Amino acid sequence: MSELILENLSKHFGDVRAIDGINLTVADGEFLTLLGPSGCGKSTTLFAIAGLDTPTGGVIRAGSETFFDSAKGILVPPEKRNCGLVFQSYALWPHMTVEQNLAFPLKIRKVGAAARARRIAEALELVEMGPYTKRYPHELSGGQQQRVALARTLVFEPTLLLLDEPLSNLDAKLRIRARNWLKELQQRLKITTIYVTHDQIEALAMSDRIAVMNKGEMVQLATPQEIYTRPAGAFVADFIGSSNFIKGKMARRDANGTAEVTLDGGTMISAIWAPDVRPGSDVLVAVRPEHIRLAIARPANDDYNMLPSRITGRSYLGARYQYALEAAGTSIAAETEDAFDQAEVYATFDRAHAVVVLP
Amino acid sequence: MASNPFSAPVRRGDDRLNRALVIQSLIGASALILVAAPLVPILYQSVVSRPLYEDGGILTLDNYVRLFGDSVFYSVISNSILLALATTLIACVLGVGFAIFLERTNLPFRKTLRSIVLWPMYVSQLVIAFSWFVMYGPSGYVTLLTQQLFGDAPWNLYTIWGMAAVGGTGMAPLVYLFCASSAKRVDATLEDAGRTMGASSLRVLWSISIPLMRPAIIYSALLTFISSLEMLSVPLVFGRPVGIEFFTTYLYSHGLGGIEPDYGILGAAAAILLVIITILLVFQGMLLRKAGRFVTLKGKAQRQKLADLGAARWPVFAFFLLYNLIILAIPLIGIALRSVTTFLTPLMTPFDLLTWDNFQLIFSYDAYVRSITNSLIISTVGGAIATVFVALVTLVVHRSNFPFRRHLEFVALYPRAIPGIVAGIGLFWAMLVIPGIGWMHGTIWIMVLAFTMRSIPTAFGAISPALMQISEELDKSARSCGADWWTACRTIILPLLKPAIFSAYVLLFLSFLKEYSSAVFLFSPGNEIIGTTMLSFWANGDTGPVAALSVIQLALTVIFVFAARKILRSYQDV
Repeated sequence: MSELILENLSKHFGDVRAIDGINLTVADGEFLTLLGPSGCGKSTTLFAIAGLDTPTGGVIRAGSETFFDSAKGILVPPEKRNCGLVFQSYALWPHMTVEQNLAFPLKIRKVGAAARARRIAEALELVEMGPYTKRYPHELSGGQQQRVALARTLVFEPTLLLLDEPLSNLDAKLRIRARNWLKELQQRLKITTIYVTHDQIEALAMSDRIAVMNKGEMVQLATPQEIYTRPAGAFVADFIGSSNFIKGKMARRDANGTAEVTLDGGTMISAIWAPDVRPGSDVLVAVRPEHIRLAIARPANDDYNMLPSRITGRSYLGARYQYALEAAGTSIAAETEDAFDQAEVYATFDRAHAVVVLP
Repeated sequence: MASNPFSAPVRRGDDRLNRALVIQSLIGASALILVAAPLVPILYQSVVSRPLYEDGGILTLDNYVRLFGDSVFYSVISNSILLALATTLIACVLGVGFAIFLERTNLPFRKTLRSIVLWPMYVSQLVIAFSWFVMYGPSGYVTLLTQQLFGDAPWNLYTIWGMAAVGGTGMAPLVYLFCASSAKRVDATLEDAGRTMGASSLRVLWSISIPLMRPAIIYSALLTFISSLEMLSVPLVFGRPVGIEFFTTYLYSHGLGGIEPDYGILGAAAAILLVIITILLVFQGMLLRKAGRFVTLKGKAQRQKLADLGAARWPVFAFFLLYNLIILAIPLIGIALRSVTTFLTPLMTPFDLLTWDNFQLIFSYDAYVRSITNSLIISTVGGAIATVFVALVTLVVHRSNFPFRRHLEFVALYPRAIPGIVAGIGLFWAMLVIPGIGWMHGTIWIMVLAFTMRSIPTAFGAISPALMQISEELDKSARSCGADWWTACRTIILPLLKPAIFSAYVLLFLSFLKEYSSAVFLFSPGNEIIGTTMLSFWANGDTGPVAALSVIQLALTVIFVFAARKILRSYQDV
């Protein structure tokens, strides 16, 4: 019913491509996150869906309704789209009480006074803000304002819930609580949700699927597990967590995606997944610092990938040490709890943690 | 989730014809018509051979040829430029001095002095000119007293420098306002660097702080220059009696002096004044854009050091008091005294000449009483209409998708280039030729129209910053909640903008109450205002009623300012 479809959505100003041909189908009731660094076009995409930003090309459809179609000249104004948008700043109207803020969208929809009161009470109950109806926004804490902003969008039963970094103004502890609470609420209401964030942890923790964006393009669309374990490129691998990239040439790739890569020094690395490229192509092996183990003696187990390395630096992070290593002609980072004093070590990592990406 | 309750009535691809666009177009078109109404007739008249209301005129440059063939016109140009230069010099020296002494030194009672130096802004230029005349004119009280005591008074207001003194002291507060914020922003570390190299604090002021204020000084100098070109009252009171003509008095005498005014000459002279000021404004705009680049605005409040005046603290303070006594207090006391006496002379004590005749004269004639009530209605009602109108213009410029919103901003700011007297001539002619607005002739509504047009930039400047401080997300969220543009403006932005709108209303009320120069061509029996009645009395040499009207205008101003302050304060408490 309220499935969201973006077809070749673009926004170009001259040569600048704020969004460049996004194709995306969000299923009814799905929680989809647009994730990317600032300036990647994620907010532009969100505002284009809400109607607050006009794209230059493509189609936006929600359920049976077309919001935007550049070819047919359709542009539905924001107030006719029935999208619930929660802003980063919450955008609560400072001259209205909590109750008046929630009443506003209902009055516009000509909801009668009795029904209005009931729905406001329900929405505030939903976000656990029932006792605060008479407060003004400035009398609420950041977390409370965020809940009221959410209630204000839920109260008119929007077709889509659009969230623009709604947690970024909360402090770290509150953010984790709000994250769990928001996800739980979304699952209960089964409302199609588009969530914009630059915080990979938030994206991984909350989403059904994540669309990673970079420079106006969607670079990967997949579940959180897949994004993390099988990043579709160096950008994704580095943006989600952080990764070491070791240069090599593709040696062999099986039909199921497992592969072997020959590094510059001749070392062979097994990886759990690689894109389909010809043997001999230049590739990068991505492996995360936390997946690298260090050992003084050469490990006997051949199942692990192994790189003879030299420690060039060490910093203490509290729970662990971070090492700077020199291996296979590149510098890589490793994080481990053990302290090493000697320079020559062996770096090992499970093939399940090695992914081949294109440079 | 419920299905979209709005899906049915949406008209696809047809959203260009919505309520928002209709309202925005109406506002934009009104602003354009209002600003163009005086301009088009003047520009047209300047190139047509007959009065613009007559048929059969042909397009010609003859008017300009005749204007430049008139030797008087050359002296008009040179006098105007000399007066503007002299006025600018005086206003800038004073204004920059105020800014430095009041913002950057340890002068005693700075806070009080800061508000005192702004007082001249509340007083009409016409009243300032009359009151200086009463005290410092050739037969003024102070002049005669000085002559009596010392044999001679070393000043003569009937000269360019005399007039520049009257105008320049009146405009100094404006320069001070512009330079004060700049003086406050001067980074103390730059000054400290000077101090460590052995410069004294006054030396640092002179060679570091003042050069850093240069953008603000140049900007306000241009502003003063333009205002002096537009100034009518001072040249009228002090220049005309001795035959020194200026642009504004030239237009005044050519338009109102003869039985049959020479429309072509009038149009051409007005057009030239418009062009000169427009060029200056373009220049000022370019400077402002450039200034933005080298004024380093840092987000955090900078530490400020006040220069120590040392032993000079109290003498400088005394100078400030004396200055304000001379330029404002004595003239205003003088005009107040003049209003309750038969005449004012040092030869007799004023208490022997006390009389209510001047006030009685004013309150016994309908026309005079009407000029006061008209002024009040125009300021109260017209000021409110103008404020609401400009608030809407501001909304369209800053908060809409109106395709011509950038152009509208230009239109809204352009009236700065239209001197009051030119606006008056233009609107007067517009009433002659535009069908359907002739009924406005002789009503206060033509005044409201003229004053509104003139005040758009002021109100726009007062409302815009406040509007831009209201987060756009507030109206965007209203839009996504289902409100269209107009509902979002009406229910969200306008209520939040209330304090700024009220401040703009205070500004417009005061400037409508003071305004006279655009009214001199527009008034006729029925719509006279305080300013035009004062000018009529003045023309007949009746100084007493002029003084009485000045006192009435001052009293109205004082009452309004106090009331407004009280209301503004209660706003801030909420």
